[in-house]
Amino acid sequence: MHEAPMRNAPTFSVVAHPHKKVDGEGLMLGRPAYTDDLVPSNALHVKLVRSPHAFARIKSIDATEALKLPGVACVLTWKDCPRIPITRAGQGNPEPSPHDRFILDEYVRYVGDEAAVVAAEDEATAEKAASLLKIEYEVLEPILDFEHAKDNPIIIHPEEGIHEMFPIGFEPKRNIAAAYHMEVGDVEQELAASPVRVDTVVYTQAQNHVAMEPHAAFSYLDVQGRLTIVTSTQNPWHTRRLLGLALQMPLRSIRIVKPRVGGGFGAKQHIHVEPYVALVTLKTGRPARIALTRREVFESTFTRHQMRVNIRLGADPDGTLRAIDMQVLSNTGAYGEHALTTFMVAGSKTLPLYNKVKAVRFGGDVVYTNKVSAGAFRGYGAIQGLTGLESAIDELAHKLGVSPVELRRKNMIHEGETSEVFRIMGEGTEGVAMNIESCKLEECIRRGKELIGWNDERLVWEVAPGRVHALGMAIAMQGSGIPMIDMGSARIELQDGGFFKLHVGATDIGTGSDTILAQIAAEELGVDMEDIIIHSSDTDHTPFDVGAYASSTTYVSGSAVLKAAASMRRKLIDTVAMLWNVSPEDVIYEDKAFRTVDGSRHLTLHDFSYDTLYHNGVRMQTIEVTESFSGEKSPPPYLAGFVEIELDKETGKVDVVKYVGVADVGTPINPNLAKIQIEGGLLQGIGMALYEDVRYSDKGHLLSHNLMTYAIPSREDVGSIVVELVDSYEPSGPCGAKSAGEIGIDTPPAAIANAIRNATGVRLTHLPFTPDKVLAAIKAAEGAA
Amino acid sequence: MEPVRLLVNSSWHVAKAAPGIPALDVIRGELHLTATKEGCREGDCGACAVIVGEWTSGGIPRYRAVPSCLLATGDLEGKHLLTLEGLVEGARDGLTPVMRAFLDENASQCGFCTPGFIMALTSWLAEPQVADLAGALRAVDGNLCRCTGYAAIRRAARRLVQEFADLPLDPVERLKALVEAQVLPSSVLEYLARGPGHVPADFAAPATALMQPSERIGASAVVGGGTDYYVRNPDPDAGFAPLLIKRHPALAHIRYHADAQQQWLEVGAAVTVRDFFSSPLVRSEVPGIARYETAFASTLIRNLATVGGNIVNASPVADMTAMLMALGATLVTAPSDLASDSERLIPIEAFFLGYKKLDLAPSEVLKAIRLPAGRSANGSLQFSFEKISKRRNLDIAAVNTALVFTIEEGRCRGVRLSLGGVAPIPILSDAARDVLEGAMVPQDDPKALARLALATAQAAAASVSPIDDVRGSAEYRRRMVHQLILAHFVRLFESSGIAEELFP
Repeated sequence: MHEAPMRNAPTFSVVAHPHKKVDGEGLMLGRPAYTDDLVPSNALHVKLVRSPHAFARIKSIDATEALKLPGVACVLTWKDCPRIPITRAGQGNPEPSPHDRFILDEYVRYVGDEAAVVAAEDEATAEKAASLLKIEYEVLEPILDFEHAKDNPIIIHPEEGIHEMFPIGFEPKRNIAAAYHMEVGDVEQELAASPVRVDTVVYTQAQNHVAMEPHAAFSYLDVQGRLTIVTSTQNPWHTRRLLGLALQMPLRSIRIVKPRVGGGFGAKQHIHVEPYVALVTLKTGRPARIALTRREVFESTFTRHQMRVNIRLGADPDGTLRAIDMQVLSNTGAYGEHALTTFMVAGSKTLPLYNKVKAVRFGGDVVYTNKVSAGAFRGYGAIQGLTGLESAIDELAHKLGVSPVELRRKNMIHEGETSEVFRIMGEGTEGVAMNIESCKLEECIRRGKELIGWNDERLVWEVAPGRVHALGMAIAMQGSGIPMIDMGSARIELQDGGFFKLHVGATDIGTGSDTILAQIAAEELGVDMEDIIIHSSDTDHTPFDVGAYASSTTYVSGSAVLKAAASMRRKLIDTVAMLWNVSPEDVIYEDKAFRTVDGSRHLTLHDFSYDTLYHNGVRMQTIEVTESFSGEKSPPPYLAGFVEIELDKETGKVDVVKYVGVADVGTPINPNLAKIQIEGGLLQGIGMALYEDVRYSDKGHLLSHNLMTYAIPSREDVGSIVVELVDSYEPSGPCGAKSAGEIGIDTPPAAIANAIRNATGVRLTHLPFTPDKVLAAIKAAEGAA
Repeated sequence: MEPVRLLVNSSWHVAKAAPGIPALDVIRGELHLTATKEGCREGDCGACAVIVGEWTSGGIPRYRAVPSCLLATGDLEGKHLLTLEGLVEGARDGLTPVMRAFLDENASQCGFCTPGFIMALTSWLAEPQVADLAGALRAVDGNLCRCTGYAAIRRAARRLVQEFADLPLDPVERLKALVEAQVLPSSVLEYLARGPGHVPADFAAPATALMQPSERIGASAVVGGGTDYYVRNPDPDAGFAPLLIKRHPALAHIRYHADAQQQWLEVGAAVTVRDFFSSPLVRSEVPGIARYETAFASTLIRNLATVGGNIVNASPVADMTAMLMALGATLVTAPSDLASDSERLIPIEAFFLGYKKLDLAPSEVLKAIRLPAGRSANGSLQFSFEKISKRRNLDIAAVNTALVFTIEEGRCRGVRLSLGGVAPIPILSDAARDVLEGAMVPQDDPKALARLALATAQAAAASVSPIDDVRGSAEYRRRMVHQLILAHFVRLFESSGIAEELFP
C-alpha cells in the first residue's frame, strides 16, 4: 500500500474556523439584497414572447395591436437585433462553445425559445401586449430523440454564419455541436486480453438547477450614458464581454453589477436575461427590468446535459483493472453551450480515479436536439461520467465476487501519483500534467465505511415483509478551477482606521465566498474578520475574475486574495521601515502593530493608517496592492459516498435512509460553509438519482414545468445526511484549500444505483430511479428467473 | 366592494389592489416589503410565506404561516399580516430568536428561501402545542431549499425546540410569551388588545378608493383558499374581485346537524384543511384520520387550502376528495347568495361528471360537506388512506385510495373504496365493493384475511383503465391500485400477521 507522506498543516486563527457569513445577518433580516429587490420604480417591465413550437421559422410578427395598448413602450423582434452569432455560455475567451445563437433569430428551436421582446409600464400590460402579438410560424418537424439526431435529415442549425471559435468538432449540418476522441495505450487489445470484462450502459437525464431565485436583471443608463446591468449572474466579466459582442458595443460602455444571488449551480453562468433588458434600455433610454417566472426558468434557461454513457472494463481475476473504454453521447439541446467541455469533463474528472490502467479511451459526440438547451450544472459532466464508471466498477466487483470497496482501493489513485488523462484532457483544449499532492481517499473510505456500518457480507437485509435495506457506495473526484484558463484577482487597500477594503471579482452566488475570501485576507494580514470590508463582482469597481464556476472560487480567487494579503503585509512593513529609516527585516508586524526588533519603535496599524493618509506630508500615500492568480494545476477534491436505502419491493419506491459523504477538500477555509456545500450537493445528487426528470410531450412541450411536476427534494425526503471532512492539506492551495462546491453532487446516482443492485440483483440503467422503473425492473427480473 | 383594511406589521393599511390580487403582489409591489420572495408563484417553494394573525370563529386568536402568492388580498380584511420586516420591530439585538438560530447554525446559504423558513418556524412556535422536533420539521415541509441539504436547518430547528420547550399552551398566553421572548413583535399585542372587533374605529378608508365596487354577485370567479385557483391564474386582472368563500362566516363551521332520519357532521366549504384534520368532531367521527393530515400537500398549503376548494378543483387525484368519497360524504350546493331554500344535496361521487366537469351551475357554490355521523360509536368504523408519489410530501399522487367500512357481526358493511388517478374523475370501485360487502372478516386468520385482501385488490385493479402521464405509466398505476389496497388491509389489520402472508 502506498503511504502518503504526512504534511503538517500550519495552525490558523481565522481560517479553518466556522465564522458566520458576512452577509448572514442582513439576509436574515430580509434587507433588500437580490436583483429584483432593487429595481428602480420607473423601470419598464420586459416580457419575452416564447415559441409554442419545438422547431419553426417565424414568417411574420404583427405588433400593431400590442403597440396600441396604452403603456406599451416597445416590441422588438429578430429584425431589431444585430445579426451576430454568439454563445450564451460564460466561459473563457475564446469560448469553447460554438457561436450558434442570436439574441433573437428567425428560427425558434425549442418550445420556450425567445421569439420577441415586449416592454411596458407595468407587468400586467407587458403580459397583455405579449398575448396580442400575432406571430405566424412555419412549423418544422423537430428532433427530440438524441440518439437519432446525428446525421438526421432534419438540420437544426441550417443558418449561415454560425461558427466555432477553435476546433471543437463543430459540424452543424450533421447536428453535431462538438466531438472528441482520445486514447492512451491500445484499449481494444487490452480488453481482448482481459480475462474478466464488463460492458454497461447508463442513461443520465436532463436535470434542472432550480436555484430558488429565478433569473432576474435590470438595466439603466448612468449619468455618463453607460449601460449598467444589475443581474443575478455567476460571471460578470463574461457577461460584459458576451453582451459587448451581441450588442456590438465597446466593453467600456457596459458595467455589470452582481448583487446577492439566490443560488446558481451553473444556471446563472450564462446570459439568459441580460441581452433583453439591455435591448429595451438602449431602444427606449429607460430603465428596464425582467424577472423570469418559475415556468420560464424551466422552459427557457438550461438543463444538465443528458448523456448515454457506455463503459467497457477489462480486468485480471485478481481485480487489477487493465482497461477502461468510455464512449459518451451527449445532448446539448437546441444550442451548443458548454457542449464540448461538459462532455470532456465526463472523462477528464472521472478516469484519473483509476490511474493504473494500461489503456484508456474516451470519445463520442455532442448532438443538437429541439429541446431546452443544456448548459453548465454543478457536477458538469463528471456526475454523468461517474455514474457510468462507478456503476461499471460495481458490476465488475459482482462479476469478480469481490468487495466493491476493496476493488476500488486496489485500483484507485493515491497521493504522489498522476494520470496521463490530466495531461491529455483539459476543458476544450489539451490538459495540464499534474501530480496529486493531496489525496485522502483512503481515509474518506475508511471513515465512510465506519459511519454507514459497511459490511461486505451484509449489503442487503429485510426490515419488514417486502421491504429491504441495502447499502451502496461510489467514489468521486472533481477539480479546483481550470488550470491556465481561470484567473481571479484581488485588491486590498488600507483605510483610515486601520481596516482594509478587499475588492474581488469573485462572485458570491450564495456559497459564502465573500466570507471565506475575507477569512483568508484576515488570516494573512493578522487582523480580525471585522477589519476586512469585502466588496465583490462589479466590473467598474472590483478587479477581474472569471466568475463562480468550475469549483474555482476558493482555489483560484482565494489564492489571489492570499497573494494580495501577503503583498499588503510586505508593503506595510516596507513602508513603515522606510518611515523609520530601518531595514524591513528589523520591522515586526504583529497584533495589528509594528515594532522594531530592538523594541525602540512602536506604531499601531490604526495610527499608521492615519499617518499615511493625513499626517505624513509629501510621504502620504494610499497603501494598496492588487494581485492575480491563475492555477498551474487543478487539485481534485475527493469524496467517498455511502448510502443506505430502503426499497419497497411491492411499490418500487426507494428512500434514502442515510447518506454519508466523507470528503477531502484540503483545508476547509470555513468548515461550516464547506460542509453545507457538500450537504446541499449530496441532496441535489439524491434528487437526480431518485426523481428529478425533465420530461417532454411527443411534440416537444415541456411536461415538467413547475415545482410540482418537477419535484426537488423537500425536507422530508431524506433520512439523515452525514458529512465529514478529513484532515488534508493541499500545498498548492490557499492555506491548504481545494474546492468544495461541486464534489458533493457526484456520487449519489452511482451509489444509489449500486444499492438498488445490491437490493434487487437488477442494474437500473435509466436515471432517475422512480418507483415505476424500479418495480418494472424487479418484475422483469422475476419473470426472467 | 369595500377596500381591504389590514394591519401590516405595525401599521394599518388600506390595500390599493383589488381583493382578488394575490397578497404577494401587494406585499412586494404596493408595500415594498421585499423580504418576502417570489420563488415559484405556485405555493410549492414557501419563499413567499407570511404570517396571518386572525380571530377564529370561536373567538381565539391565532397566527399561521401561509404562502402569500396564493392568498387573496381580500382574505386579509381585518387581519394582521406579518412579514419578515415586521418580526424584527422591537427585537433588542435586531434578530429574533428564530433568525438567531438560523444565523448561528449557518442554516442560510444563498438566503433566498430563508425568510420563508423563518416565517414557517415562527408560526410553528405560535401554535398552542408542545414544541418538538417532529413538529418543527413538519412546519417547514412546504419550504424548499436547494443549497443546504436541510441538515443545517434541522440543527436550527433542534435549537429552537430546546429553547422553547416550555411555552404556555393557552393561545393568548402563548402569543404574549412569544412577544416577551421577541419571537413575535409587539404589534401582536396591539392586535390581541383589539379583540375580534377588527379594524380600529379611527381608521377611515381613504376618500378615493382606487377600486370600483363590483356589482357582480357570484363575481367572475369563486376562490376558496386560492391554492389551486392562483396556480392556474397567477396574474389576475387588476380589478379582480372574486367571491371569496372564506369571508362568509357561515361556511367556516364544523358542527352537527340532524333531521328526523339521521344525524350528520357538516363541514363548511371554507374550513381549511388544517382545521378539518384538527377538529375534535372530525377526529371522533373518523378515528385515525388525523394521521393522514401530512399526506396532504404541506403545512403552508394546509393552513390556506379549503376542504371545499379541494373538491371543486376536481382533480382526479385530490387527496381530500378520495377520503371524503370513501367516507360517503354528501355535498351541499347553494346559489352564490347562499340562499338555503335553493340548496341541493349531491352524493360526492355523483358530483364529478367528467374531467374537471362538475354538477355545479355557474351561479352555484359548494356550501358544505356532510359526513354521516355516529358510525364510530361502537368502534367498528375502519378508515384507511394510501397514496403513492415520487416525493414524500408536497407532491401530487400518481394514485391514491381510501377505504371505509364497518364491521357488523363479523361482516363488512357499508364498503366504500375510492380510487384517484385511475380515471378522469375520482371514482368508487364497485368491483372492490362487490368482493368485500358482506364478506366475513377473518381477523384471527391471517391467511384468509390475505386472500380477502388479494381478491379485493385484484378485482379493483382489473376494473380500472388508467392512462400514462407525467406521474406514472398506466401499467404502474394499475399495479399501484393493487398494492395500495393490500396496504389498506395491512394498515387496518396490522396485528393479525397479514403482512407476513402477503409479502413473504
